[in-house]
Amino acid sequence: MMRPCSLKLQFALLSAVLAVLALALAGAVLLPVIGHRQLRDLDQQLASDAKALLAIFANNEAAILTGAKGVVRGLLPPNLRLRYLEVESPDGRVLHRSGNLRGLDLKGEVGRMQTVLIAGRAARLRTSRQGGLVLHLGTRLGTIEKTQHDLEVSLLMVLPLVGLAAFGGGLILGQRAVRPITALTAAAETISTDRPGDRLPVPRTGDEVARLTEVLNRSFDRLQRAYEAAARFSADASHQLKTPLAVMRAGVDALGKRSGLAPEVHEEIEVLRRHSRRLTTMVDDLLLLAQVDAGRLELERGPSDLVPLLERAVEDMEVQATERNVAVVHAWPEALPCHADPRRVALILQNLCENAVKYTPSGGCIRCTAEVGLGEAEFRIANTGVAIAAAHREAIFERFHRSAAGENVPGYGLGLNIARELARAHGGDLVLADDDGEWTVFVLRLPFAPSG
Amino acid sequence: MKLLLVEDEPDLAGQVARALTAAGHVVEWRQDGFAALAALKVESFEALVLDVNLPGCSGLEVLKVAHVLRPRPVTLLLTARSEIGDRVAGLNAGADDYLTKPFAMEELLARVTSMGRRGQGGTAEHVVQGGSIRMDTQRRRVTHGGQTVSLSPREYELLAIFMQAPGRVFTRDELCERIWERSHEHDTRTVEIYIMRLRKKLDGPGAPIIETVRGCGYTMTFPPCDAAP
Repeated sequence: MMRPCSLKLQFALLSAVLAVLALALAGAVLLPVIGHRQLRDLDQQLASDAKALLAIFANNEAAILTGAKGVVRGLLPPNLRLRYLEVESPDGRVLHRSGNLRGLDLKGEVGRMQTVLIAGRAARLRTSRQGGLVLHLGTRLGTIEKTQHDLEVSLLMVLPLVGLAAFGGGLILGQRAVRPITALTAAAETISTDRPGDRLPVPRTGDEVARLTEVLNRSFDRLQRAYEAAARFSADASHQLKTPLAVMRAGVDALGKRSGLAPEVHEEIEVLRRHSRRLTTMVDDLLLLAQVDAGRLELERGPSDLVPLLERAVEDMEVQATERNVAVVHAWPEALPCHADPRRVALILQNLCENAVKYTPSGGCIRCTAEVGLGEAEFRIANTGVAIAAAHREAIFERFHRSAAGENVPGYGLGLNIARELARAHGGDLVLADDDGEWTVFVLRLPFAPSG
Repeated sequence: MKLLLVEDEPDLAGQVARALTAAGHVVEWRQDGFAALAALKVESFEALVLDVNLPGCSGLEVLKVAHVLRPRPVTLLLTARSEIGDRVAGLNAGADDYLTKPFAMEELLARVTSMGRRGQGGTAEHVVQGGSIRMDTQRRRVTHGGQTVSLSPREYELLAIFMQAPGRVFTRDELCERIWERSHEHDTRTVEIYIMRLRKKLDGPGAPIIETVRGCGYTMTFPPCDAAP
């Protein structure tokens, strides 16, 4: 996929293209206009020169008509000596032909201007007639051609410069135009992550940016209301759900203390107790997730050691694994420092271990290793068994996900989701490592130091 | 002990009051914060069992007032929330202990009793002795007749629960609750296995016996000590 250009770069590029196009268009229009103008001036000059020559020749018509050499030449004013000139008698006899024509016979309709080639060069020619004399007067078009050529060359040289200047200007202008938006983005980012109660300052300009700011602020208001409602729910629900649980629990306890109860009654009470405890755990999990969603999960973080937590989690797992004929091997260093909330990390580990036991078939193996990584403590828990399908690799971390293989496995599909949310709240992560076919490997990373 | 119980849920209050009375305490019950403040003004109590979430004025407000009373009643906070914020706020406001709802009634009684001891100036002992077992809770070391017993973290935790309340019957669920913050599949079975291991490791003359109380749970008893240190 193409990487999108920044706004200011797009702006600059567009300015450059437009400037170059405009200049090229101006050149295309102006060059012919200038050429035409110059040609008209030249034509007028030629006409007036011809008129002046004819006036001179009229006074000496007889001498000229003799066709004697040097007559016309002697009559020419100095400023016209470089022009092409041919003088003919009415019957077509050439009376004078200037040397620069090199013997070329000039033809032309009287009173007309025309462009002809003389000795391979373009020239302008005027034919006039007065009394018995026909006059062809011409001049080279070199000056006009040179001007056009010069204009073309300078235009071509200026084009890239103008393009470059427009690009630079566009960049600066674009930056200026985008600056309020950049500032807005940065401010909006801090609000959405750190200070949800803050609002963006609305500029007094009344322009598009001001309107955008207002729209954003209204969205933040709505977000914050939803956020507060979720937070209130999590607090209210915890009270609403836990008090009846406490009553049930205390009632069951009181019943259990009665003397003279049959053993079956005691067993029944034990079941009730266990289930009220399970219910409490579910409520705790849901509330924990409600807190995560509301962005108000509180962590009691401090420098901790992962090892004692690992020892307990793996010890619990070993008991269950042995019952299911699953082997557990483990290895970790003496200490694994991390910056964490031990209660929450214990929960992450408990969930990971339970998950491993659940999905390892009888006769399988679970392998736990931990090591000091780069700026973090890394815990890997691997189990043998059916590999997780590629399509489910991310889905297993979703809430209430139950894999196809786990349909007859107890639980309610929150364990891995909670574990990942808690790991991320710590600035770490929980991922499923690339399958190596035989093992399913989860990797938990927890940072050494407080995350920024 | 003379106790003031402040809890807005009448059913729960009744249960707690009955259990505390049965344990030999004198219990006064108030249903909201203002009534509790009024009671504290006219009577003096040795202990306060206080719900955080109360109608009227909150448990934390009551706690602030109770904290400046002389003699100061020891306070156990009951909180519905497992949120840290509440716990920290409560302990900062001067609560001596807290209990998260729902709780085992035995646990509440044990906490009240231990708070009462502390209130009388008792100090926490680092070394617990029972029969030929000596448990150093600071160094997490257990000796059996002078010989160090190597216990896994869970075995140690389980032994500590029994050692601190000799003779008391713990249900499996209560033990689970003490060991794990949240329940999990097979946790009662896991406790049974830990108890089995503990019994094996603590086998020997003068060792405590973890008895199974049929239908109830477990209790630890110590044989008469021949050679008290």
